[in-house]
Amino acid sequence: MSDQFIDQLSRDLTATKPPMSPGALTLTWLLGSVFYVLVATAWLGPFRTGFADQLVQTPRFALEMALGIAAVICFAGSAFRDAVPGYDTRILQRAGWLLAIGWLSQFVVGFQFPVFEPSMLGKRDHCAFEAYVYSVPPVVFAIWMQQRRYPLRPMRAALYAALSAGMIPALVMQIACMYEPAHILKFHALPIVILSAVVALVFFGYQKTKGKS
Amino acid sequence: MATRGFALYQNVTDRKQWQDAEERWSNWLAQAQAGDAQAYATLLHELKDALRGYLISHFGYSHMLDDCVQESLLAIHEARHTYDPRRPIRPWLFAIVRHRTIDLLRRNRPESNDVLADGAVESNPDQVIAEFASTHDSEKLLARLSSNLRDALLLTKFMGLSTRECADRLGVSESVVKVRVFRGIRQLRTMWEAEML
Repeated sequence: MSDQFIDQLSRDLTATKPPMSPGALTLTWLLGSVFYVLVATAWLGPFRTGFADQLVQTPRFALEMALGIAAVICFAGSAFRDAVPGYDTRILQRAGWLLAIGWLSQFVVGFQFPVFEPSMLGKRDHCAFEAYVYSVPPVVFAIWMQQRRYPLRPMRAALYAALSAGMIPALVMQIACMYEPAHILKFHALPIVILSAVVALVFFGYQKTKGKS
Repeated sequence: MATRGFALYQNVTDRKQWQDAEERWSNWLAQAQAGDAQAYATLLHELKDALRGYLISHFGYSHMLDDCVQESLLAIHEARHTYDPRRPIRPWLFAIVRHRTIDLLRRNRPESNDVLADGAVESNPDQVIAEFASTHDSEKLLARLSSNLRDALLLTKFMGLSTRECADRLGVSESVVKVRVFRGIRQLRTMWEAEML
């Protein structure tokens, strides 16, 4: 092993600015993404009438939202910790999946035992389109921030970013759009799956092109 | 009692060396992040030997060892901006090394050897012993083996006796000698691995 190689690396050394910690980056990204989605959603149409009362007066609805928000936080935390070597993300990932499954299962249970009487109140004409479009800038920004670090598993890191970014508009639609379990699963939740699949495919293709494993 | 005391002393000494290395590497890398090329060169030279030992203990002796060390140093160079000096350096460092090594071994799968699921290459015990014997820790680690295992290893692998000759010298059967040599190598590997981390 040549010492010249080490000397060359030392000669090429440039000072680097310490990056934001994964925790701080997660918080910044979450606040920015949620603000952006809320503003974009409000710009295109009003939120569902009475959603605030529903949150306060219906504990199951509040639980649904809490499960979803907690899953978003866990996925986002995992996405940015995965971008720096040496961070253990297993607990956050497992917690995120458990919470996301808990969130989704509320809608499945809701077919038999709905939180509210299903209604068209607050229906938005293009909620699915909004769910897709609103999730793109946050996921692109998240992946860009990950690539500026050193993710050892870039596809996995991007996938968790996509899950988090996809769930944010889905959760906002729960208070902005109509409440009906089948509608929620088809038009708010399904975009999360499709976005994640697209991100995974794009990364897979990119890495194959670059000759990485 | 004296042996136990010596073992305790060894543990305390090893832990201190481990902590000293942790602090040293972390400080040098922090200085390198600020642009100190001298500190960076010193760090890489010291890491070169540490990585070599770590890779042998985790992946076995391979003809690609030098390539793996070089790839690991390059990856450390590329990732240096992500290290947070407030955190321990070893998880950061060896996550990079493990990942790049497995990646490299998979991409350059040798024809005769199988690369195992975790990237380890089936290792030749004699090559492992030869590499181990060249490190300055070998005497210390050998002293920590039980006398049965140490005698079998020393007679067969270091003094070159055959299994039969060793069995005659120790007054045991050949199969017992083989088992002791196997266990001795495995324990040395475990202790050596713990040293590297």
